[in-house]
Amino acid sequence: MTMAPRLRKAVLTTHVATSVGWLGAVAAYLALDTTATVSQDVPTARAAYVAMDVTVSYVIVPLALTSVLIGIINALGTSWGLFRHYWVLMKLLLTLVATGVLLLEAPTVDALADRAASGADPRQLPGTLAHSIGGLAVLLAIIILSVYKPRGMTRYGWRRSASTRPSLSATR
Amino acid sequence: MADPSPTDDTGPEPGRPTPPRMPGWVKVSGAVLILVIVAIVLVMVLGDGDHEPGRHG
Repeated sequence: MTMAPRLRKAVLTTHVATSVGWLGAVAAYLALDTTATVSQDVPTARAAYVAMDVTVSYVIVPLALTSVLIGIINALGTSWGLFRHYWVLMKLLLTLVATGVLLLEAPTVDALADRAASGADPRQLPGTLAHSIGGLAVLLAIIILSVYKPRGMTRYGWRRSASTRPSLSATR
Repeated sequence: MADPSPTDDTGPEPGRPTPPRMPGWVKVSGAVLILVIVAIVLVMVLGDGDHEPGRHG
């Protein structure tokens, strides 16, 4: 089922906004994470951990979930489909992995913020640099796929295309 | 960001019996992804739990 052009553009706009917003929020989170990990100033490190928790809970998680949902709607509502082209399929897999890791890591970030805010020495806390750097890399890969759309149709997509494409002899 | 037509993909034309092969970039990306996931799992399984707070204490 293909969406009407105006609805398709509205959905695409929402998907782009949430996806790029997700990338920007993770970049900001990486800055906070780096500060929390390397800073030797206790108040600064403590504030960074608290800000990390706020960023994850109120910005990154909502944007990620919205991006996934709108992305699926966007794919299903256009002729690209969700499983017909490898670039779409790869985007879906990467997004689901990134979102899954995010949801698993969010409680850890919350726990670190609670420890930092409760008076513990924030310089002793481990930070989450591996996750934030990895997450940023995955999101960059997703955006590259979105822009370049490398060619490659899945077998399913090829079968769907073969069943719906009109015969060339009928148009000449 | 307009959507270009998805109708000009590489691969055999519909109607030919042979479906398109998996592109090289998919094979490479998939292999890299699998290696990364395996590496992450190994680190988690073989690590000594040094993510606990107070590891420097």
